[in-house]
Amino acid sequence: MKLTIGNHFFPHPVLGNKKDIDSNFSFSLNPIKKTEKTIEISGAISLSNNTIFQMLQQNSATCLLHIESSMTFFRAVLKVGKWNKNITDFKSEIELKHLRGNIDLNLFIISNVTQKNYHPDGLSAQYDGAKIEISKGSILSFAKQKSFSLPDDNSKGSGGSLFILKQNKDETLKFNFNFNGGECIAILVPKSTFGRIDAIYKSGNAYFSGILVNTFFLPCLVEALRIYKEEQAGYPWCSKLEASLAEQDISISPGSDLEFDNRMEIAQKMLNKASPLSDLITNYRC
Amino acid sequence: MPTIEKVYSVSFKGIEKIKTILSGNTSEIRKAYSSKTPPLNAEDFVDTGISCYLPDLVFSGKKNKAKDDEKNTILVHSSLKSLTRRQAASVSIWLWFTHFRYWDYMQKRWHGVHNKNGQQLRSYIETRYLLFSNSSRALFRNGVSRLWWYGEITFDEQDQYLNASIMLEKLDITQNLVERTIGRIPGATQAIFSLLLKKKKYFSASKNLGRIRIRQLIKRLGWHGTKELLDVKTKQEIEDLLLASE
Repeated sequence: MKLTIGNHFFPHPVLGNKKDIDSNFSFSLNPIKKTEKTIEISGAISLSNNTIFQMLQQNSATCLLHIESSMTFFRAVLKVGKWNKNITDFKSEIELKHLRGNIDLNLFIISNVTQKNYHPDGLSAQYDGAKIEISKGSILSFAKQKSFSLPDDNSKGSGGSLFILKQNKDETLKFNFNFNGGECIAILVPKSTFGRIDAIYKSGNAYFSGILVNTFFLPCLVEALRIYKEEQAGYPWCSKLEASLAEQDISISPGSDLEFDNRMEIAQKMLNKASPLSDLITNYRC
Repeated sequence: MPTIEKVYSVSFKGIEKIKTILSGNTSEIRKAYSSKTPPLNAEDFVDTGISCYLPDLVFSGKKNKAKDDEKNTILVHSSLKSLTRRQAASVSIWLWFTHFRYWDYMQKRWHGVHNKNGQQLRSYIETRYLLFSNSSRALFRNGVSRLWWYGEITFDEQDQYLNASIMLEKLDITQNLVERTIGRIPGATQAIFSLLLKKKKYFSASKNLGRIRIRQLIKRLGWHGTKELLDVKTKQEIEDLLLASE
């Protein structure tokens, strides 16, 4: 069980929790820089609440970045400071030996003081007249979690696949993709087809494997490239895709349109290359 | 005289071999997992670059296996101390231990292969010999990785493996700590161990009372974690919080 922050019953109003406080607290993540022994995590944070911002300026509150690798039980907390207006940058270097799989980033602002009457800007009307007390250590705000995934040292057979093939519970749909599933893109296939695909894969027949790639992986990769390019959703699988693009010297940066024809071309190039994406496909997990 | 051995991980080909065994019927699976000969051999391994002294693991045959687990936790973790958490979260390294190096120990300690059938047997092997999922929970179920990870999350420079002994004494503590968010916060787990030791009599009360008290203590810790970020607190601060909310 890793740290998860969602709608939650706090004993006091918290920015980011339900509609307690009408303000914004969020962060963006730069592409992860990886060296042989470390990774560098960096990004920018923005906060639009004056009361909490003043508390940060007066050192009555602290902004903390919580980094967690749930596979290795690694947790680290980084203090983020030096706010310029309502924006600040953060940067942290972590040794790779502590990390594996999905890395989750959570951002908090916690109080350094006890306050008997805490009424931040934008407080929901439901708290009108309430005497709100916060104590030293209370969570004042949290931002939406961001995650990324670190590819394994040896992707062969150790879960390095970009895709995971699953049986579709909805038998009325022939097949479908799920891009929200985590570090792998799920290709959902009907139960009857699932066994056949596995058999084709195990047969090692190049002709049938080619059909498999064109039928399932190609359309999925074309759509994955669109999501990566246009939505900047930060899904954990994006870093695997990014690594594969970089390894093959294919340069596309996220955030703008990429025509269908171009995506088809890139996807086919990636699928035709010997390594490493073909590893990511041929070692798909069922 | 202890000899230094190389530590290997299982290759993709080796994993495929295991998958093939598990795709067989009950008797084929049982035959493979109760054979004296391990199902994998040298051609299925990849050198990890790690060398160390690998001790024989203890199996007393007693019904209560907690003492054996405690001894083996210390043996495995202290000999494999150079393993990084990144390496120790890898499936393939533990497959080498369960399917080759500690094959004899696995067969004695996890002998459920003899009385399970069909899917139950497959799940049992996936849980104890393999890693049943890509989650950290699976690391605490695999027959050998669990020993290393118990040692890793409880080790303290000052008290060494004292916390491992406290944790493995009661299955309740192990499950409550290992499978909850709270168990990932070093200060929080150290505070729990410290209180369990200081108030040993209170938490070892007869019948179910001791168990209930331990559960309540961990629940209280969870409650503090809902309003504060316990990661930034020291062991002593968390211990004080728990005592104040008693």
